Amino acid sequence: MLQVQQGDEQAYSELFARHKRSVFGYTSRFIRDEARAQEVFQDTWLKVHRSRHTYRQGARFKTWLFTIAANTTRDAYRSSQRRIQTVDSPVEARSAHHRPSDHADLHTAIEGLPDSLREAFYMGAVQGFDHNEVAEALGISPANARARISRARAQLREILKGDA
Amino acid sequence: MSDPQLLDYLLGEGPEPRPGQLADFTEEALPDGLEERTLNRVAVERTRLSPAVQQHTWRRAWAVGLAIAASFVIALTIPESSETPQGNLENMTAKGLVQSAPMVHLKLARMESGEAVRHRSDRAYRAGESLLFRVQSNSSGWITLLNAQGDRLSAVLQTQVEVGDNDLVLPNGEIAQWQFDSTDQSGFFAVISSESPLPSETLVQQLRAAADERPFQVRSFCLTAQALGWQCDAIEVMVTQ
Repeated sequence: MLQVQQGDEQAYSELFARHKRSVFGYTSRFIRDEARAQEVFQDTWLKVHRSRHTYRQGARFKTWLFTIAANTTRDAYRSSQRRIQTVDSPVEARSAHHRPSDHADLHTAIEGLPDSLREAFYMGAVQGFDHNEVAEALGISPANARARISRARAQLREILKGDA
Repeated sequence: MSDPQLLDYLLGEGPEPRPGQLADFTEEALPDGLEERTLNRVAVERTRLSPAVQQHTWRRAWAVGLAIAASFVIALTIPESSETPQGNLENMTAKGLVQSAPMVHLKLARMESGEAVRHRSDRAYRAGESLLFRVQSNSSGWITLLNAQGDRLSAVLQTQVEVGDNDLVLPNGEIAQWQFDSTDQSGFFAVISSESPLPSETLVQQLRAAADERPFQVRSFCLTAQALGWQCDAIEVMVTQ
């Protein structure tokens, strides 16, 4: 990343190659419209380039990257939600009543979580960030991050148990 | 997602899954073209290209319909490239892949007090001055604009072109201009044409590997590109600080 900060294009390409699939995995989980998910993916990497000087030496790159990805995705997702809510049922209602058709489909179950829990769960449980990293990426306190992940797991257990 | 071990891990009730197992859950393959589009956007950003009409007094005139007039001004003032390392292009089109790439001809114009004026190869540019680009093509396709300065070669912009003259534009549709700054050195701009979009990073890497001379030389650069199967044109640009 330090090489990227100094304008090394090859270093940027290597970082892109290493993390592109996980970033796209993240954006496409949260944004169902594939074209929009692709736009957010591009915006994320553009912001990585533009914000490269804000990266602090010694910080974990993946946490910094997912902070950008999460913020960019959230902005797009909320914008999308606002549009959907004007013509469709409220998103919270969709989330509350959503149940996976197949209990083995954890992806579907995760989609049923409220946004705040889903973000924290994805960062903490799926990407393996610790509570401090989740907190940094989502702009919340570490205690709040831990509570959200815990609540997300509890809700998932209920969803999966209830659907079994 | 039917693996009980992975499920237990995600729910905080089991050990970490084996390597690769989690990646299948967290990663997603990129759709065709997304990687290239993303890297192109970053390349454009990196090279400091900005809309040509930005901050120029004739922007308002552009808005009210003088775009056509400006286009004529450029057409009248942009000379054909005088440095033509590809002077024997006709002979080269018979070689392999070159046949499928559109023939290209690069033209430059200098922005001066908000107006496009003739680019002169004997006049050095200073920080703050800008260049516009126009490409003449004999068929529709894609072109990649490259900049070489010393040992450095970078992709500036990739865009579609149609038959005839094409002002090079940014992804948002605005005319692109290169703004010189204090870090610029003398070098050259080159355009590479292709039937379909080329991954710009790969293109640059191949050209770097194939070009023998450092610093890059305008007179041999297009010969190298053509040997790789691409049509090319290049113009030298002098910079003074």
